[in-house]
Amino acid sequence: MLECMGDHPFGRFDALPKNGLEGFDVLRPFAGETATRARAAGPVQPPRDRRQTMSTSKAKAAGGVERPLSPHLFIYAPSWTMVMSVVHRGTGAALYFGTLLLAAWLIAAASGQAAYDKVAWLFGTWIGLLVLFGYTWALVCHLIGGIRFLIWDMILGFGPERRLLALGTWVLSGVFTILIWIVAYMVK
Amino acid sequence: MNMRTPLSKVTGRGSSKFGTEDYWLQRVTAVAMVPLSIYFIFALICVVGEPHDRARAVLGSPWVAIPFGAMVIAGILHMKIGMQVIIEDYTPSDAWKILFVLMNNFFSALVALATLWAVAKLSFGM
Repeated sequence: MLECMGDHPFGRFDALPKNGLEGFDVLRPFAGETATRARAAGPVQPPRDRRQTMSTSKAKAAGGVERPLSPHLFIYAPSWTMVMSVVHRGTGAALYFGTLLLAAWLIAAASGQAAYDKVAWLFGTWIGLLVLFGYTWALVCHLIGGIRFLIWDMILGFGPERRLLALGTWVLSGVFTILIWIVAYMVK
Repeated sequence: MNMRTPLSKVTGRGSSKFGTEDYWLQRVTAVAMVPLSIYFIFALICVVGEPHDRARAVLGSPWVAIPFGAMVIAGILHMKIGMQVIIEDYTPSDAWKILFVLMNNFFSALVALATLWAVAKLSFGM
């Protein structure tokens, strides 16, 4: 299966006209590795019996009918678009629980001096600062990644530049996070 | 002309007819939060580390409280839908799915109410 699709999971995209970006290893960091791994493993064999790959109850519910297994995560080599998609979900989940930090801080500010000082002290410890730095990065990364997904929602940027968009999210989120913290310390 | 069989009408299976609402609302709240979150980051840079009375004054001003309120409403809706998608993707059984989706709804509602209460209290000084 891997051999008929070429060495990229989204084989059909490779039929697009190539530009200079294709030559850079940094944009296809895993391409060579995938090809090597595919050659070493030989042709991928589907499991002989679908019921071997699922729990007993599910196989029974399916009536023991053998159906082809859809290609799952194990046949894909990581690509930047895939990695950044996973990171987007991860940062989203982190921000979900991170709202507790914001809620705690706002409630403390609304409650009074003593509560506010306590939370401000907690956020000022090294572990608090570390968590806040992580929260900032998650927010910026999810924000830039979100803009990238809005661009893709408009059916733009699906050519070779898609990897640059994905990689740009990674790089820019780091740069902006550090800039935000530098500005925050300069203002104080 | 209705092509559905009587049996299919009775069992009522098929599309729920409002499956795209969450998808669309997720995009609308995302677009709303692009400017709001940038404003939110700058507002927090100004407030963090300030003494209590000054932080209170800044957070209670309409220039900060109203965008914060908008940010909280958009953000909570966005994170509730996002977490529901994650839950629906990974939970193996309906029982767990219903439990987690319920917990997600309660958590989101609680955080929204708590944050909005704080913003209102800071604004009106109750």
